[in-house]
Amino acid sequence: MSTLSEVAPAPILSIRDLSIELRNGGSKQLATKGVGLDLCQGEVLGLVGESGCGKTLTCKAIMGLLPEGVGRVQTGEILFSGHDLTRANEPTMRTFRGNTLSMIFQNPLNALNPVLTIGEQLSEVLATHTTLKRSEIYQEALHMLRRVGMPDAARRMRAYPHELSGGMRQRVVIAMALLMEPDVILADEPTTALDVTVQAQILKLLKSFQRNHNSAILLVTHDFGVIADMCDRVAVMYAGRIIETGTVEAIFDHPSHPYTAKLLEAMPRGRPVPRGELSVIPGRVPSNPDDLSGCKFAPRCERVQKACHRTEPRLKRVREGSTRIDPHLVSCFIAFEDRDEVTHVIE
Amino acid sequence: MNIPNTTFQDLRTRVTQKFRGSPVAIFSLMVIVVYAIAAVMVMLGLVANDFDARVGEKFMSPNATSWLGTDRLGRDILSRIVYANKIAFIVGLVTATLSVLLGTLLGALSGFFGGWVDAFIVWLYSTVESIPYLLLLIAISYILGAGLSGVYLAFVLTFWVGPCRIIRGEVLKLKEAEFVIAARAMGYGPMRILFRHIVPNTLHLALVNFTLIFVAAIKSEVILSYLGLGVQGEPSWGTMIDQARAELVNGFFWQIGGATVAMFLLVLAFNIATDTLQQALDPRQTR
Amino acid sequence: MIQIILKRILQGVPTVFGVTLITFLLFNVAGGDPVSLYLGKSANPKEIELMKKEYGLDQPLVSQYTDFLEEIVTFDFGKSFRTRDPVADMLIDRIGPSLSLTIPSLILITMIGVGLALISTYYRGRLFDRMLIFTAVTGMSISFLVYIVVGQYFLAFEFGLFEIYGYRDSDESRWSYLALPILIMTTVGVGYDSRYYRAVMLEERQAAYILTAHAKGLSDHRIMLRHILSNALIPIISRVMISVPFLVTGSLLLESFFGIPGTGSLLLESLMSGDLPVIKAFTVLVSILFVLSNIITDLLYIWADPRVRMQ
Repeated sequence: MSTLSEVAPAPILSIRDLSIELRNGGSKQLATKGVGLDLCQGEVLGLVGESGCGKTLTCKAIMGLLPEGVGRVQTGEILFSGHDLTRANEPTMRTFRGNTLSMIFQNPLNALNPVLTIGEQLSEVLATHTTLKRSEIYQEALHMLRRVGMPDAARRMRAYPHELSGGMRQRVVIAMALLMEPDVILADEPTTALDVTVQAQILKLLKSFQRNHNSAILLVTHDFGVIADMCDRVAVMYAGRIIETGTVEAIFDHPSHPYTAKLLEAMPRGRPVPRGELSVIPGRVPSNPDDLSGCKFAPRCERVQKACHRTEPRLKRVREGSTRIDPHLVSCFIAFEDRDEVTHVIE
Repeated sequence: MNIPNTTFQDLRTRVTQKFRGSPVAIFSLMVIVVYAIAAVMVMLGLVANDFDARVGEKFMSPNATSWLGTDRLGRDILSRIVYANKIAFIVGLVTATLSVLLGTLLGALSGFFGGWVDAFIVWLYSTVESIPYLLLLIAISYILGAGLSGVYLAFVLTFWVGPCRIIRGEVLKLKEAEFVIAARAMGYGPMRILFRHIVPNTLHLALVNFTLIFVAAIKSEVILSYLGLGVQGEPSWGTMIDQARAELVNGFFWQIGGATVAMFLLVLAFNIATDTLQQALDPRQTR
Repeated sequence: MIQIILKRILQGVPTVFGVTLITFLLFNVAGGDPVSLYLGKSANPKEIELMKKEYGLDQPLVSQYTDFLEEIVTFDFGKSFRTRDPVADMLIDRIGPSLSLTIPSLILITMIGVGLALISTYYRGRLFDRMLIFTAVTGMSISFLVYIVVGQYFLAFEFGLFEIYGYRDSDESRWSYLALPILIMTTVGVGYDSRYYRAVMLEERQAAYILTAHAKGLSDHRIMLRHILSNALIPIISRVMISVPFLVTGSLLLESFFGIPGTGSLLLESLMSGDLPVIKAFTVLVSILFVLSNIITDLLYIWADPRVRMQ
């Protein structure tokens, strides 16, 4: 894709130096710090990390849906469609939401209103963002429901969320998010709450959609398997900071940050691991990362050096395998620079 | 925060199950239906439209023509009781409907928007609550003069507080539910979210309040009528009980007995129905 | 702690203020001027003017309201329209009989209500419990008026068990006049309250710590009394506290029916005749008491919950 041209296309969604502040009772904390991401048209960017690292919050920040009074954007900007979303007012945001910028939520049961039928909830999106007539809206909604692979779609239009299975509900949620053919889709762990068999179907659905409409997807997940299937590029997040970014090949072939390497190692691959047990990363994500000076991963890192505790590393280019268009960036003082150092984790 | 969405359809099934499982509850519903039909029949003029006619001697005991006897003006007591039922039903329905509507509207706005709106509405209902309810009722009725419209206004201005509190509490909870955040993510405006998404999920509570207020209205009407502030010109259970007081001394108890029993059965039926509803809606087993 | 008290008092001020506003709007504004309301349609316009002057009701509305506020702060509520007596005196005179009616009733209702609730919780689901619920629901479905009328007719008149009517202020004979009203009030109150207390206790029963208590091998009695009751005390006390301000208004109906010269019958007479000064005094006093009792209840909660206290 972008490796073919010399000039990188301008990103359609650009996050710069985003720091989100969370208020917990009396104390304030930075849930994310200095997060920077670029999402280009037609690409799928994976955002991966353990639970609690700030991935969902970032998505909510983009949508302008941080919990009121609890979370707010402290610094940074989110550029989309000629606006800085962090400073846009509600009416402006509402023109984007569900329209050019949409979000798929993690738990489809909770994301749907229990007292409205599927048809009503689908139609609502169109009623809000278009001026189509009721009969047209119904047809569009039905059409979309079929396209997401819902069996017996016409009957299901009249069903309530609780009458559908988890997989079907998630199809509805996706249908709702895609109805207006958005430019950017934020998919927050869209398959985590589903059975393994259903997961594959849903991901396929998303991928085909994305390809047909050339939309951009920010796919949040903690599962590297999903990343491998779906994504063009990956950003790894830890303790609210982006610690490594690059193309999927680059990250999988030579993960440079010790955390990334460990994550890949820890990924169960469906067959017996040849060398010993599943590796586990000892320790826990720091609860107050700001109180820690230096690299936030240092306490758990095998390769930690004294410098790691002193100052926080910044994102810099990995020496090998990094092109100008798709830079492989890592924030670590002792990143795996040498390819041979890393045990190959993808077969 | 995730509010398990299965609970809503759960509620519907739980309510039907609970009712089906209790013969007493079913009987209560039947009683209510019977009374309602009677009220409609009166409104259509099919029965009891001779409630003012003199059909016999005064203070007659039950006989072939007057099943419950006659009152001090020789009017048929049973007809008057049946007619009064219509009044009770109308008073109950109008009061409950308006109170729940007003209370739900204010509670929803208050809980959802917060800020000034919330502060004002909370202040408003705290103030109304701190006035003894009877005092408020009587005061308003007195100022508006006797008669039905005064009664309605007095009731609604007093009873809106209950639903308002409850709905406000529920809206505050639901505001954080994931489907609400999802709706916002779709770009829906606040009014649509509040009235099309949140409020419909509170209706089960509004229903309980409806039945409670219905009962409260009927009982309060009795007291207002005793004080001469209630319904005028037409027989209501309250006026009948009031008149009957003097008659009791003479040993004549058919009017008060009849009116009391008629009212008692309806109120009891509603109380049982409300109880069953509340038991079904309350996930805990505290009843 | 003092901070919290002050804060609560400050929060209560708008409520009291709201009550004065509503009272003012209701009586001085909504019905026209209070004097006309009081004197009725057939009154002589000159009489109206005179009386208005006497009570300062010919002033512009705003100054009427400020006068009202002043009265509240100084506790001088002026004179009754009807009797021309100072309202404050009237209240003091009549509060005795009312309290003699309401306080014993409240005590009995609480004691009996809590007792019945305890037994009911202990025998949950069994005959006693079901009978209690049945009786309570049935009792709730009968109009208060009927209790009074029937009680007065049968128990007092027919069977001569109680005095029918009237009141005498001496210490011994007052109780013979108050007995039946207290009985009626208690009966009706127990019906409502026992169900509420029962619900509260059942909820406590579900709590995890009860399971722990059982597991520790404690007897049921001990669990009931020590654990459930003590935790239920807070809601019980707050319910009692809520009732306190309304003790002062006595019972409008009971006092009228039984001829007891208390604040309740005074209030009723004043309401029915439009005696504004008395009504104003009542509503303001009750709302102040209401706000105070809410504050005390809040403080009780804070004091009783060790988690909050230890902050």
